[in-house]
Amino acid sequence: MLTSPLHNGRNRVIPHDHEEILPENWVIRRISPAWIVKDPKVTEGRRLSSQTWEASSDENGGMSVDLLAQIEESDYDPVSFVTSPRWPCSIKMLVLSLRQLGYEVGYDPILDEDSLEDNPFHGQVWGSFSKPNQDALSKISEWFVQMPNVSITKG
Amino acid sequence: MPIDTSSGNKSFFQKYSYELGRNPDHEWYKSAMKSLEYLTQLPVGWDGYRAPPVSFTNAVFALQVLNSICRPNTTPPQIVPGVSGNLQIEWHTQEGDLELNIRSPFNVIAWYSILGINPIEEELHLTNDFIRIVEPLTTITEPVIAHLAAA
Repeated sequence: MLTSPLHNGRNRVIPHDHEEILPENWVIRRISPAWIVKDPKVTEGRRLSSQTWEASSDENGGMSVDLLAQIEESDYDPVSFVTSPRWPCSIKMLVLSLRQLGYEVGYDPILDEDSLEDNPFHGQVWGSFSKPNQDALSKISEWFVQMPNVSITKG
Repeated sequence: MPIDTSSGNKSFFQKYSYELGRNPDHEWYKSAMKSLEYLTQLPVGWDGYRAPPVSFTNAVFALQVLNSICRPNTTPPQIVPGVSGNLQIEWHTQEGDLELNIRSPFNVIAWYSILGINPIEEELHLTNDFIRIVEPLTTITEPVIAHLAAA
């Protein structure tokens, strides 16, 4: 597994660009059906809302992802790990592409947090999530587990 | 959304928003109520990570915003949750797009894009006055009315 990240005095991970998360690695972002919207302008008639690419407003919050390389190194099947009826589909983004857009990609395992399932493969993407940046993120996203008849981008 | 009074156990949101709402018979109101009811009851971690449900205060404020900008026949919006208890109200038509990111009460990022011969795209930070998005909303959802108003 990755070297543990540093935390501040309130046990919040300090945003970082983890050097062990390699440019050729991929990050996965699970998609809730609540983020699928109707848009007659796209061929499929439905697409992902811009809220798909949004960071948490919590202290040091970023955009949550799962780290594909770390899942693959474990005994878990990546598709099975990120997919369930609650999250029927997911997208992936190349770490190199994220960094080229100015983002930091780091490690933030979810362990022993109230009300949450442990996720030792949880990572975060830190940076600006302005409207133009959200558009750019949608364009570097690809389906990991595809939702039929849903476009990632708005065209 | 019908209000269950059989046992007196209205959801808190149903009870409060019914008293708040001035347009209970409008389709956009009924649709928004249904969406907001659902989004405020999402479980923690609904996004697969750490996201809380849409906050009650944001949901009520969203309804107030809609009350201030929607006409009786305004197309019902789509409402999606954000990852920080926020929510986004969205309209997407062939005429364009309008998104209202309700970050917190009186803290709204409005973005709209109107297509056509003279395309317009604008982002606004709005607090308590939403008059500036009424015309884009009409153009996007009721283009015939917008055309007549402009004539």
